[in-house]
Amino acid sequence: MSEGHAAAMAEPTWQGGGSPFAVGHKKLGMWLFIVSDTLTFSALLLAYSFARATNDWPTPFHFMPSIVFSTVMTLVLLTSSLTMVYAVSAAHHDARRKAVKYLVLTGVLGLVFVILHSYEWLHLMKDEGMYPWSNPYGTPLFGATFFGITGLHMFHVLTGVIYLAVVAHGYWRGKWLPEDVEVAGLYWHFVDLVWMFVFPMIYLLSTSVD
Amino acid sequence: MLLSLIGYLFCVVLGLWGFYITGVQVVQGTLTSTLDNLFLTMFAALMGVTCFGFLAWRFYPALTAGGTAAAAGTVDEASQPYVLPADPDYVDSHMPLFNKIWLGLLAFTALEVVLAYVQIAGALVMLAILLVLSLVKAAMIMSAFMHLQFDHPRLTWVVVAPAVACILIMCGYFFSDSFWLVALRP
Repeated sequence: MSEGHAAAMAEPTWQGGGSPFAVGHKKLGMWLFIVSDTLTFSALLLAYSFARATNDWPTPFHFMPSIVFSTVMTLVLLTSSLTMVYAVSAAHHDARRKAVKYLVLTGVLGLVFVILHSYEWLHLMKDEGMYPWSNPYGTPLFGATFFGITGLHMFHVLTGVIYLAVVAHGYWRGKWLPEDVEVAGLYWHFVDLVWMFVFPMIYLLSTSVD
Repeated sequence: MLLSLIGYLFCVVLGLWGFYITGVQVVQGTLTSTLDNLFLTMFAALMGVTCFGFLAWRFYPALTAGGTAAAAGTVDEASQPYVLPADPDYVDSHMPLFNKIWLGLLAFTALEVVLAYVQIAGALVMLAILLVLSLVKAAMIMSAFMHLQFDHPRLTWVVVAPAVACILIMCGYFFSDSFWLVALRP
């Protein structure tokens, strides 16, 4: 938080000074973006639920590799959220080296997520013959919704990795402030949060139990 | 003051109305007769819970504090400047909490994976159980990791309320309406 911002917040809110939400403009902007992105994902997940409810939906995912991979991916993403929290904490202490270290660790964990996910996608395409337009299990909507939703999430993770790299670089150079690290953290936690819904709805509800 | 009173009255009426609709559906046994009824009841119950939850959140401190000195509405919190803690240690003092939240999230994930194999109920109930678990996880992430519980409460209202309202509208109107479209298909 810049000094000007702190000074503005010392003014009573309804007397022209102040920051109505007691956060910086960057943080508020990121929160508003997160709200709109939440609605994008909820619309997709609702469309998926509708497709599921009106079609004979296949449940083809075996424990190995799909469920094991997606569980490990969930653990990786959750852990990356924790390292992100450590990075934000270090940045607020002006422990720059430590903060950048944790930012890089977070980005690496994000990359691990993307690599595991791509490996699983390739397995589904090559070995199982499942594509966005057709699959051997049943309705083609199964592949369409699977690749559509997980693809959009993977795009968010990739964007987040790039975002983290840029922020880590800028923060290391002294160009950006701890608040920027915190805002990047908000985005990263949001990506984690979305996966908390994608994982049970796409993977766990499509396990082949027999 | 008058406006606040009208607001609280409105809140009570809206909440009672929501619970009334829920009660009628339950008593008549029409709760699960159609998908529309299910959504209507869900919507009404949520409205009641939200209204009375808000009232409880607003008045609980005043009631427990003897109800005289800190009577609700006398202190206009919105006009007070809110200063974030400047002490850098305040972030650090939450680190044990963050570690616990992480462990809790891992535990919930493990529980979800187990539940996917030990199917204790039908598909719809399983979906509900998994979604509730996911909502709990999302709330943990938002309140702790995304720092909402340490920010000004106003930010939570600004961010969470519209998202929840929009998602409820999507669930309550668009989602249930889309089934009509299938029925109307020639």
